[in-house]
Amino acid sequence: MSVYHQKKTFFYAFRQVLPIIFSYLVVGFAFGIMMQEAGYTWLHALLASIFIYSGSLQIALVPMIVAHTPLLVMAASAFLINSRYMFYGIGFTERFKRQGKLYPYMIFAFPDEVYCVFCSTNYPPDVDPVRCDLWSAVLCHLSWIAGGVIGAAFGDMIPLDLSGIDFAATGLFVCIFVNQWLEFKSHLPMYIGLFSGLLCLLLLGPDNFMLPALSLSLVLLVIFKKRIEGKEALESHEA
Amino acid sequence: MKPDYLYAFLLIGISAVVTIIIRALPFAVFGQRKLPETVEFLGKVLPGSIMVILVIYCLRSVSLTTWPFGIPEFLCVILCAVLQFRLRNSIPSIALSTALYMILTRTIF
Repeated sequence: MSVYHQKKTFFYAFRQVLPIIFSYLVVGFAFGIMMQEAGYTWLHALLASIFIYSGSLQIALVPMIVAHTPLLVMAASAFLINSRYMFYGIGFTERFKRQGKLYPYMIFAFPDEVYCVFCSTNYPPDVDPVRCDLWSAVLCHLSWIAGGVIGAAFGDMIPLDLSGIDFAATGLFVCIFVNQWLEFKSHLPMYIGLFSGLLCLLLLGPDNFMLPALSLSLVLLVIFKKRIEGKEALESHEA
Repeated sequence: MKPDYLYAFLLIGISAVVTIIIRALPFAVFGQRKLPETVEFLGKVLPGSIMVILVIYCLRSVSLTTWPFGIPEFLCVILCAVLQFRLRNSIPSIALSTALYMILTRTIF
């Protein structure tokens, strides 16, 4: 019954997440090395990369483990560092439900970079959208796990200076931003993001600005809903 | 096993649980019923705002008051954006801008 080409689906997903695979291997590797240098094993890196699957938190976690941070403090820090994820699910409920039994996996395996790619996926006609989402999520997760474990197990044996390669994540966000700029009729959401982001960064500093910035842009989007929708309706012909 | 190892597993565990709860939250709130219209609207436009905030998030620790004033970061972000506008293909855009960043931070800056 399926008119989808499964092999093509896999390769489309692979190509779509290729920049993430590279960046996850390298940043995961950096996390693994941090774990190793702090005196922990590849098993710690493995479990952290499988079950936390969040670069910013895992990298903040290492010094907190070393400092024997109390559990409740750790929980509160984890919440503050990762609170931005609360915003990512909005708009993906229906799409992820199509995964059936794997719906919980899609909800879980949803860090910044995967969110970002999912925001600008345009499936070609013979690519299976459900499988494509799943492959994309799994490939990213696996490369993140592989990077972490390899770094923790063999980090000291690989004398490679890869500092700066984490710029790839910034590059990815910039690319998706450009895609959205070209796609969206109203650019007000981008200006709202820029305004909220810069304002909160200036007022609150680099460690605490994310949650306020996201909340502020959410409020502003609701306030300017009529304007944004008016512009979308005015210039959109395909909808 | 060293007791220290066990404590590390506990901290990893609590971090994982908190992260999973955060990720599940929007799905728990909006996943069960028909989406309110405002939420559906937000689902469409929020990515536009979030992407800009994520770029700011990546550059949050760049110092504009001390050398090199964020010059390599801004050059590479601009290069990446221009390439993506032209090519509409993220792989060369990301690869070239990241390569430039690694070269700049090792040589001039």
